[in-house]
Amino acid sequence: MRWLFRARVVLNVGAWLTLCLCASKLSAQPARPQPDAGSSPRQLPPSAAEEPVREPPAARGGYGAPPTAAGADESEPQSPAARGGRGAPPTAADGQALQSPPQAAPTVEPPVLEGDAELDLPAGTSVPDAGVDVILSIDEAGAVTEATLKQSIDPEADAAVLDAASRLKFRPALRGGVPIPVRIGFRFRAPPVAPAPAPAPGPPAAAEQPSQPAVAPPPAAAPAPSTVTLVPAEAPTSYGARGRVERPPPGAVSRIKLRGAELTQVPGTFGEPLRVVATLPGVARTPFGLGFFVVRGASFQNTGFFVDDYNVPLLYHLGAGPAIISSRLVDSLDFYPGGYPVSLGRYTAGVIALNTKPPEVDSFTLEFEVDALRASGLVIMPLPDNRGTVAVALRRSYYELILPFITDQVSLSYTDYQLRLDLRVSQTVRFSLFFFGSRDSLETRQALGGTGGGEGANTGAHYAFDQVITAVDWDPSTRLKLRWSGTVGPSLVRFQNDRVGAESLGTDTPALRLGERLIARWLISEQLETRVGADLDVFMTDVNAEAPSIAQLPGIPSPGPPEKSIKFSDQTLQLGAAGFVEQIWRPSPLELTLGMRVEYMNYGSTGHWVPDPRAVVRVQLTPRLTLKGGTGLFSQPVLPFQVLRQAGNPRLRPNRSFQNSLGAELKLPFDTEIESTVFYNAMWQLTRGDDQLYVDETGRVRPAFYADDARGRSYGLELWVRRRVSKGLFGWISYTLSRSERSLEGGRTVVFGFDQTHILNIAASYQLGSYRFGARFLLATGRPVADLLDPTGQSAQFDADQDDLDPSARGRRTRLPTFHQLDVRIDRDFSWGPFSGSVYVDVINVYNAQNSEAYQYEYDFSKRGKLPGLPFLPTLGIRGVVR
Amino acid sequence: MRTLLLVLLFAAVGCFDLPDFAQSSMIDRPRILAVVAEPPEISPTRSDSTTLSILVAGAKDVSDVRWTACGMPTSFGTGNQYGENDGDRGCGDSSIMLGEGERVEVPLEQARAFLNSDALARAALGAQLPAAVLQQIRTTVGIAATLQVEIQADDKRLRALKRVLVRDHDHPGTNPPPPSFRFGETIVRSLGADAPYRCAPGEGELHAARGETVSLSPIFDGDVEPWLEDYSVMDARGVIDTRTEQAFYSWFTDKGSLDDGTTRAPNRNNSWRAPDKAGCARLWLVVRDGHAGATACMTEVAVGDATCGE
Repeated sequence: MRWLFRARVVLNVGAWLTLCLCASKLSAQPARPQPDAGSSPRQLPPSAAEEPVREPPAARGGYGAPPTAAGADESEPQSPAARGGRGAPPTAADGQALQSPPQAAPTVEPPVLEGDAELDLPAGTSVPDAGVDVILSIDEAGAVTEATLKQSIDPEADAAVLDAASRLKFRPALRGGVPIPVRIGFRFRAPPVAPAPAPAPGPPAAAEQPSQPAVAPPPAAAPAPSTVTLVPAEAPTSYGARGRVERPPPGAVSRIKLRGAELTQVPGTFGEPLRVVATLPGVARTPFGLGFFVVRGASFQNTGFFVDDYNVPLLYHLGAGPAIISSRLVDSLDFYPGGYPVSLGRYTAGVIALNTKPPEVDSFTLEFEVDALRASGLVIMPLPDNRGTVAVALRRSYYELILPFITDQVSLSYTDYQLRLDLRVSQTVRFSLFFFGSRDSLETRQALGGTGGGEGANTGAHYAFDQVITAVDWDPSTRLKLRWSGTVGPSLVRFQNDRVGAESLGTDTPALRLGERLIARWLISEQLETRVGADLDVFMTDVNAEAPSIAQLPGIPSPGPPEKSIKFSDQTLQLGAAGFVEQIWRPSPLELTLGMRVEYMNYGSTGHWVPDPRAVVRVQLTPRLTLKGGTGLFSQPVLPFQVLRQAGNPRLRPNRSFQNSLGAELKLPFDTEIESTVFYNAMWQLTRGDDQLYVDETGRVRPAFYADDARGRSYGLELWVRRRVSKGLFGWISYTLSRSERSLEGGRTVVFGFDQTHILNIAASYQLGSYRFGARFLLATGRPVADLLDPTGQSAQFDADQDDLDPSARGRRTRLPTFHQLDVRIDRDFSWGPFSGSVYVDVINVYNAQNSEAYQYEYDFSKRGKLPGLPFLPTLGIRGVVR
Repeated sequence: MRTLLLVLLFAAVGCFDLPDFAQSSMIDRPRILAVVAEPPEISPTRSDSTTLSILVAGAKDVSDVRWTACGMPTSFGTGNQYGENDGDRGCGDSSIMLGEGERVEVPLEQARAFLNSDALARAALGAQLPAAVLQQIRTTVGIAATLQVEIQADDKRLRALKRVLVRDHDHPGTNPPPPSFRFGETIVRSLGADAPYRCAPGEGELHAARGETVSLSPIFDGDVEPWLEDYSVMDARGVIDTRTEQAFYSWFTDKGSLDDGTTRAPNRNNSWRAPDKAGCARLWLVVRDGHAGATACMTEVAVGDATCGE
């Protein structure tokens, strides 16, 4: 066992600059996401967001080893060839032996290396004798469309390896004789070293080399890839190993999977995946780029966050901070803009799902990461006999040490931790335990302005949760795969509002979540697959609130908040129990998926049965062109606080939506692909506020608080042109044309508050030598707002009891001005002795566009001004790795 | 949780430079500063009525004052999660003409009709409420009648809303006493019914040097305003509960500047900075009890060598 220490030292000048810009004011803006130290995988240890490849020791030994069943989420038995052979291309027989059950299909042939590529290492650099593992995405033409490193060497060597990898040429993988895209693991060997005493600085390298330097260069005959990994569970077949096909699972029309560099290298996002999601099609822009996702015209609470298939309230720390889970433990981020599979549920719009996976190491590893705002550590310990790993991660911010030098009006802190155990129990059984949690605190003082007494108020939000997810995967045969998982975890949300001259307000809401899932996948035949499962979600909350004592009756407002608050406690239990089945039929070139999710939701005072049938069809017209369409019902329980007995409406029905989409996927030359989708979503049983009084079951008169009769619809077109991460250029263009409306009480139809007709995102990054240039441009229609401006100052009405002027839009609506912004980023890699890293400049709003996030009005609405967006904001940073 | 965070994040946008708007405490255009109902609560079964009046500032001429009444505003204008916030309020088409002039009396018959109308009450409160519940509301917390006034102030047409509580109760609420406050060390009191909405020192007129900062402090006996009354509410839980009024002091001026627009306990005091030029400045104080009660007055301050003679 060897020890590997890595220290990341990140000095981010930009963070300080950001903080200082707000120092004279008051701001939570310092929380503008700090470039995460994990945002530059080229310089840093391989991110867990990259495709891990589990290789058995034997497979590491020989070059040209056949594919192994080294899946990151699977642990397959190995064929004899995989264990010891070299140069033997994978065979169907191997595949049978190695196969992950649902994907087993003997007619699939793996890709075969046909075109070699020299590994041209820069002077002074080298690669380990054991070789360098890369993950290759190979399209139907046999071209490498994406290459990522499993482990970084140093920036220059990394670039050389990736460059060589991207030039490799394969005979494509075949399924039933039809080329298919796959994702494989591949190993570059160090070039043979002549028996000279000194290590020569970089003789020409070959793509594949024997493991021993003394062995001759690779044969002319092209070997097979060293490993082939990861056919996703949803992929229909593979050849005894698995190759990832970047396409949605059968039950989903669209899924955008982000991993590795795509999560962390998009310019203007500071390496923060949250901001990357905001650049994807179907996602509306939110003020200041905050992470509230308005997807396909639905409210932000209708898009769910999942970690390993379980709902979590938040994926990111407060203050637009980093994700609550270390990027080293994140395999990928799946974004479903709608029409997600039946195995997920309880949201009526999109889903953002993190898939966690332990990093691959072959020895005890300790990593540190330090930057101006936070520090983190990660320990990874492989278990004996390659039976798994144990990983522990901890991150702590220290805003509380920094902010007092800048402002005494904002305090922010967060901590997160993860403990992950992955254990290969037997050749057919795997076990995982993921224990994670987070502590967040955000307080603002004097930030809410006058509250009637010209005084401020202190407001704080505290959020804490701990959750454990455990899973057992059992593959009893090559055609049957079972997965059981369960979760339990407490959480606490505390909100407080201390006001001058009045009693404090706040909520203290401890909660407990329990969940359980069981999924079976049965590959009945090559063309027929069944997936069936059930899940249970129980969310118990204990609400303790001190609420404003706003007298419902007689309804006379006052100039300031009431002095007295009312206290109440309530318990809610939200139960969701669902069974789902999905039948997939694949008569080539068609793939038809029929699914049904039947859910029983019980919350408030009633239970609700909600059947959600869904159907998805895909037709692969040519190897490059696929048409797709989907339709289905989706349902979501209302928010727990909306069904409180004392301050809610326990009779609310679930939100519902009917989602429909139709689209096409087209693969183009130059590693480019286009996806276009049109969608129409109808929404009903939406919750709205309701002031009307009624007599409840106890005979008490009280307001309804909420009604569930609002309706809505959204429709639009999404276009995504993407060049995947590979050498040179990567990036995408996403464009969304949409409209979202709501019908409220009385049949009034209004445009949804975050509706944006046009949303265009262009993100690109280009590697040139040791420089990387990136840019992102965003153009979005302004969101609709009431037009309250009246230069005469006569339309506003004075409320003599409240001492305030109330606006009157008289039905007039307008939109904020069109938003546009260009961000650029330049990275310069360096290497100095044991140090390597990069210096970068990241500039937000290069041409200082005067954008508007909202309108502000003079007290009588006779004048209007803009609440400005982010100004020109340069950031200078240094990121380093010490080994 | 996400809603909460959104609120917090918007609250934190104090970081940004906002447009330079006029302070609402500065009277530089015609304004309605107060609408006073005397008394603020009507008990129709006790043969009460109320007289409505209005305090206008910043206008040379006030005319065409029209009063109307309705059950409730047509919309609370509170917006919703769908982003709509037109903020329209008013009596709409269901208004009843009450009269014209700067002072008008609400006829007892109309108050009684309003109180006894189940249809009006249900339209305002809830269509499903049984008659027994309505009766309970009438005798405990009462029903707020919304009054609307429109005036012509110079070249502007201005509107204001005012609620009057209609309740079948033996102890109707009252307005705060006429304002009195200290201007520095000088006590300023209301001049009474002979000069509505006027305050003045006991002798002479108020003076301030140019640019001088003068403290303003309401006058009352004890630590808490003794005129604060208890009243009944039905809170959000449907519980009939008792509340105590709160005193709010709203300050305005047409010259110089004020530290705060509205003050209340425990920081009731304010300060006024006299203008740098000599002249006659005006100060207004409106006192509200948070439960429809209000009083108000205006006083003049001679700044520098100027005087404020009639």
